[in-house]
Amino acid sequence: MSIGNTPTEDRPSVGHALAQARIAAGLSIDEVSTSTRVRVPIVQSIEQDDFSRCGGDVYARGHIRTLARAVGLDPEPLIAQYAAEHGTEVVAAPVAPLYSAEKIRSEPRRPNWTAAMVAAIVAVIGFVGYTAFTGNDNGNGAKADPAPPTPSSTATTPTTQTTQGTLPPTPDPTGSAIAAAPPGKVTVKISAEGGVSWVQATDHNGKRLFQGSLKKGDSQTFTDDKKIKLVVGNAGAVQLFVNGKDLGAAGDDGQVVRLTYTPGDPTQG
Amino acid sequence: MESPLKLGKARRILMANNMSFIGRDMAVDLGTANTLVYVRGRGIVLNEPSVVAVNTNTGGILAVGSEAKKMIGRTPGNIVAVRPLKDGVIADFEITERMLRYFILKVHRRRYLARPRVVICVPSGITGVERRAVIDAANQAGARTVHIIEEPMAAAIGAGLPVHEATGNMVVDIGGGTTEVAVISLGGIVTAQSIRVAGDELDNAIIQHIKKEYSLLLGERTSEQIKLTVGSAFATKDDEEHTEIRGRDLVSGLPKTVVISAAEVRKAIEEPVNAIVDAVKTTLDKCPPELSGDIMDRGIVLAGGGALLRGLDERLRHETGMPIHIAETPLDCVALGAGKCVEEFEALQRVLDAAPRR
Repeated sequence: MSIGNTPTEDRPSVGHALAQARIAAGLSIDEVSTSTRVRVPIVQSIEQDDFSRCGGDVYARGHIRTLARAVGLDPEPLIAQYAAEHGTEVVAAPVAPLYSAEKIRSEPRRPNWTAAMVAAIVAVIGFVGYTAFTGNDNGNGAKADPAPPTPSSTATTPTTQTTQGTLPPTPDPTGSAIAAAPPGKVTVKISAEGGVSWVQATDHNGKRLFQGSLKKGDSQTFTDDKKIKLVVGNAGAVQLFVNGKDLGAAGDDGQVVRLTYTPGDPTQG
Repeated sequence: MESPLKLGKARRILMANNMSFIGRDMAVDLGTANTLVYVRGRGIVLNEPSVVAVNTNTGGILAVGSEAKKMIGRTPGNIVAVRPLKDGVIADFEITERMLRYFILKVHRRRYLARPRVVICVPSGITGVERRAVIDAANQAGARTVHIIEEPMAAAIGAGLPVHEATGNMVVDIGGGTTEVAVISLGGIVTAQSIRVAGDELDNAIIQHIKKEYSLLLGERTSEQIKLTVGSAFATKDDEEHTEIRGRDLVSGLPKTVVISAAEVRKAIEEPVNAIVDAVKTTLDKCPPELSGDIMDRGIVLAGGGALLRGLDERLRHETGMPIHIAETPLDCVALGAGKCVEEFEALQRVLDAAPRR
């Protein structure tokens, strides 16, 4: 036994302490019961340390407090002893000092769902714009690269992708656009050198390969198995290379021309 | 090219908040005198007088809580300090809503998306309309869902009474505006009475008495101070205290000081105290006999600020012949009880949202 325990060992139990104090004050159980209104059998059972009749911790503590006052004892140590013996704690209500007087805003903000919605829409539009922009980027990359656009990098028709493996190696190692034209196909490279021109290109199925304006310095390359039709808005401004052959300007300045090319027309060389 | 990505990320965070966690659950003891806010997992975080100071020119709120309380009766023409609750129910809907919104925002660190589940205490004698007003005010103040718990039930849970057992528990909650007397058994209210006589009425009685006897006009704050320092409900041997009070002389119009005794204050508040004692007696009268026997053994528990009135327990003991206990923390009982409902929301949900009995 440690020394720290000795006081609790010496201390009489709650009921015993109450009984002693009552006898010391010269009161009978009846008298205590009359003054506190706690019924006689309950006073007796409390003095015998039987708190089961009280009907709950709160009531037991309340009875101990009233009885202690009636017999002239300080109730608090008894309550603490009761709590220690019965394993119940007096729950103190902690009022955290969270509140501090602070300037009040005239109108407190509420969750701004409109702003959230706008943000979401902007995000969607931004994403769509982003994808469209990167799609353009591919075309620009082909222009920025002076090296010949290989069929895979042009990526205009899926047919070129599938037949790519069977293609014979390009005859000319210099890799110019002219030399890169694969035989058995029609390849059209159109580059705007004299100014801006609107260009439309369709393949043999009538599928549109390209439609739009070529700025000065821009170029596009189209490949198909059978036929490529071109509509050029400003024929004098564009240079055509078909099947590796430099055809020069498509026409006069401001002239609209419609052209059709097949694999054998004009032939390479 | 980067902004859409950033926005996408922001949107994802927004969505995550939306789904998991919008504000902390909280319990509000919306009392006539004080409002207490209990936040799940944090305990009572706010205990403020239910007073709001409004600038009538702009309609803006100047202060809420203790700061606004200091302004009561001391405001210039363009400022009013109002108590938006009267007799335990909402008297000024708009101000109540703004006060609630202020308190809800106060306990949330994030100002946006503060939409908590809220449990609000109402007096048991509340009508359907008054109840509806409380729910609407809380909804408009930014609550996601509102649950209602009756004050005596919350007080009993907060005092730690075994409310779910099949035995009678009697609780008397004397607040600022209403006194609630209820007998509780098996998690429900068996019989209850709510009278609109409580702390405020005691203050008022003191004002009326001093006015009649001394022609001295007192403010609400001063009379409350008198009640707290020398007020009592039962004569004891050594209570002949005296206190000095200041007010305005009705005859001369000048400030004046008088000295009154505790006995005089007791006489002044005799009438409202009698009303409270009568409410306890009538509730006992309506109580089923089995539960009467239980209460006889266990006694009556006092909660609320009025429980701290000196001699009230002695007075009730004398009048009813039952043991009287004062709850451990009478002022916080209701908030703690409602807080327990928030902590154990699922377990205690059946004590919430009891339909009005009248």
